[in-house]
Amino acid sequence: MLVVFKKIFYILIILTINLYICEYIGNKLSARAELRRGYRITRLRGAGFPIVRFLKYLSKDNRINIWTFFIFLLSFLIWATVPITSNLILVEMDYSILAAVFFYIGLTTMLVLNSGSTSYSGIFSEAGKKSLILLSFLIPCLLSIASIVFISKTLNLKEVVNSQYQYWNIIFQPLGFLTFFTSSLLQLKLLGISRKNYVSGNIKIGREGTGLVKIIEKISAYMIIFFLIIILSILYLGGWQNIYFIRGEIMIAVKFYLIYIILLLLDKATTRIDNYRLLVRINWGFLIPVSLVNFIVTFGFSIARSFNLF
Amino acid sequence: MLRLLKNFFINIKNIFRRPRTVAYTGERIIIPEGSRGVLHLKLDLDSLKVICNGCGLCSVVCPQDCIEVKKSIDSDGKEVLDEFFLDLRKCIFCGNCVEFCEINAINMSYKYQLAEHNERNLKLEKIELIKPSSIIKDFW
Repeated sequence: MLVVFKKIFYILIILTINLYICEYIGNKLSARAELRRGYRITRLRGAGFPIVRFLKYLSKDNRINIWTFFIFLLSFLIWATVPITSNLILVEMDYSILAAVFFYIGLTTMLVLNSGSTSYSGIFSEAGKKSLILLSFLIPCLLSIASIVFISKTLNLKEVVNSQYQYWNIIFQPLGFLTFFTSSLLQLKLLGISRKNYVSGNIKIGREGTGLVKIIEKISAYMIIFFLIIILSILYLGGWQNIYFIRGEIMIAVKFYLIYIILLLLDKATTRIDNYRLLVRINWGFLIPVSLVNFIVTFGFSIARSFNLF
Repeated sequence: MLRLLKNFFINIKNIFRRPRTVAYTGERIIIPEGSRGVLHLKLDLDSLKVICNGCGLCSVVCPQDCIEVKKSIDSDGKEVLDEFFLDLRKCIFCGNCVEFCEINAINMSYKYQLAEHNERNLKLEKIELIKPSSIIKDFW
């Protein structure tokens, strides 16, 4: 029992530090990419910025409904089955990918629907449309994950990492990596991590001044991105595999921040997409067909291999 | 796709470049060459007297009517500048006065931080416009 509490404590510490660093990096990178100096109300080159922002939102009075509480719960529950490092996993199970995907879909759905809800318990039609677009970005992710499952023939994330001891899966699945990465980038855009007011209109993600609800929404949006990046590095980039003398824990941290920075810079490099038809066109015209072709080819190869055709 | 990659590498390059903005009170900025600040009355370096003879052409061409010139005649019977008022509340820093001055007696300084608590302080007199500090570029 003590071991479980110890693990929970470690996971919470890691997530909090990650939240702090990612918020700081996001602020600094977006400022520097625009040749600005960034937020400097606090000394030490704006190191206190995430704390100041947290306190700013905390000071505002806001009611929390039960769905917000569930979102908060799910955003930490999502890490129960996802191994951050080889030992840091709460529930060891053979179907960890399925559980992780289940929590991920649940969190995304609840976050978007809650953000679009109004005070009279209705949901804006515009918000419903946007949430459907966000949910449709899950399809290429799921197809890419299914392709990896066919390659490594396991649903356990630890075994997926162990199966990459010789070659990383990105070598066998470049199209899957591309679609997963692009889908993550577009989800980052839709969740409004780096750009405020991206999801404009009546949806509340990325809008200022809604108190504690705002903090919870922001944390859960970050958790979705953390989850996608960790899953990306586990499925395609070898996870916590040692490289020469560098320890696996350090390697996964390096991969995590590298992917996060690249995602932020790509988000800065792409224009602000207000036209939702464009998003739909990217998803249904490029991501889903490519990931589907990738899935079918992988499925065919795995069938052929099981029948010893080659 | 190529445009996306180009923008991506521009962003990476920008990260390592010096930021254009500064923390306002703590740091100085380098003012670009040719910036237009408050008017400055030039001095004759030999006699250390104002070059301006008070002809009043600058006040005529000023679109905002913010310059007021008074001239007098000295003991040699020569026209000299007596009073020179500049109203900074109206001035738009267009530089017309500098361009039209026939004897090249005025120029634009680099002084640009002009916020004042008292409105009366924005009406500058001859002595304030002669101050050498306003023409040193890096002083401000």
